[in-house]
Amino acid sequence: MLTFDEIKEIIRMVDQSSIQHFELDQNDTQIVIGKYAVFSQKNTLSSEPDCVKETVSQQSTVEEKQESVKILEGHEDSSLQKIISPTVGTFYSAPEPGADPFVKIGQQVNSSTVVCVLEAMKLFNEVEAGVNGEIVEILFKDGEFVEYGAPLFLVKSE
Amino acid sequence: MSIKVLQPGLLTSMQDLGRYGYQKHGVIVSGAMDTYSLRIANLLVGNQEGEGALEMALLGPSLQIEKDSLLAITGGNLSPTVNGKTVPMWRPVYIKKGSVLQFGACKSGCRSYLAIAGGYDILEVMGSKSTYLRAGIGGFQGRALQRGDVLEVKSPEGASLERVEYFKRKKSPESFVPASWYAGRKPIPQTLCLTTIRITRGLQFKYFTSESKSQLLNDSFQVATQSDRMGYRLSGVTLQLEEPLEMISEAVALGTIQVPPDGNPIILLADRQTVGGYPKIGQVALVDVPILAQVRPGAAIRFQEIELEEAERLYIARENYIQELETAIRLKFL
Repeated sequence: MLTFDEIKEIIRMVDQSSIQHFELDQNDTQIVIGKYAVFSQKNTLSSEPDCVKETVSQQSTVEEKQESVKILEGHEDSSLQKIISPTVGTFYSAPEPGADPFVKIGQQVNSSTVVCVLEAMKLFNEVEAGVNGEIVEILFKDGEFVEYGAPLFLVKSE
Repeated sequence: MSIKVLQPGLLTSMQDLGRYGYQKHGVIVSGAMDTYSLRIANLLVGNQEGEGALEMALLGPSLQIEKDSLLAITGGNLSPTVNGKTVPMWRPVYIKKGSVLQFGACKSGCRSYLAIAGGYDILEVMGSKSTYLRAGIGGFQGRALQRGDVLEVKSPEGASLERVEYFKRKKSPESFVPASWYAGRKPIPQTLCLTTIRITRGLQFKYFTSESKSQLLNDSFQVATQSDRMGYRLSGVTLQLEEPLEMISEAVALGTIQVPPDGNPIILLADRQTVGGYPKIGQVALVDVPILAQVRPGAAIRFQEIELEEAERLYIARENYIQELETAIRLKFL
């Protein structure tokens, strides 16, 4: 049996991720979490709701696009590079609680500098910068869940 | 020939999970003080979790690696370096032959563990590779390592062989190649912090004065410098019985807190005797023994009382965690 806190934690993690549908079947406990407000009117016959659905989903894509554009607009400088997450996991800026962070804003990194760790399945995976330059922005906070391919840091190349 | 001891360190001995089944004959259990760290070290290099590993206390050794080897260092941070360069802990590290693995100042905890893929070639005595230092039984010639000792290493097989091959394929020019990931949070007390240790009530708890009962749980105690692998002597308030208690000696366990007539409690650890006649005021929860084992002499601890059911729940959660960790590590090499 999962505790109430564990269930809360799962909901929180799913909510903050881009996961749309989540199912867990453990012994006699079953949890299904879905985020499909957009598709909820599927069983109506008229064409109208379908349109609504379309527009809504389109809107959300547009919004997403705008967001990512926003991030880039701030630093339109073409010298900015992104450090991309090589895996999924929970973001940590320091090797252990209370320790100094791997990197700070303004710090110079080279391609083999470890910039953060991502925790997945109880192991902490080091992420190397992969680029040379200066850290100008850290895009995640400790404990946040990171998707595969998400930009983690913005780096200004030399 | 595989590992040569250039400097032995303060107390470096071969340990595993202990010599069980012979306490009825007066043979103590021994084994690693921090079994959690020893188990993780072995799992990282693909060994059985209870394989023998080196336990290094406070001041670590200097070791020459005479054959390419896959090692893992866990436990307290004794500033390990290879040829002068810091080696990361809690992960597999492939070290090339001829390198010198040197341990330096103690940064956190006080005991570090070194496991090697394949395991050390040590004869089991009564089913264990642990060193029973006082009796000179088991481990490497029944004693702590000395300068010039040469530890043989068994050829890696199965999972540990696969991991050695994995690192070999990387063909790095460096003298050592660490994995780019490390195992979970480490319950290692920082040097100067006050560490909280969870306990359950001991069999004779009720015979202590109410003042002593409350002091046990509210005051802090200093781990005395006479502490060793047999037990931690604590100093602080002295704990008193309501009236003198004549006891027939009975079995003691790992983490038993006994109180001799002088009132200064002793926590029994890896090299504990098999029976004791002092009243037992408490029992350290098994999950907290590895934490306690990393508290260095001179540092302070305090006790927090938990129910037996809670101690059991924590124990099961810890075992589940280790099992999941083992799976996660295995998946890393697929």
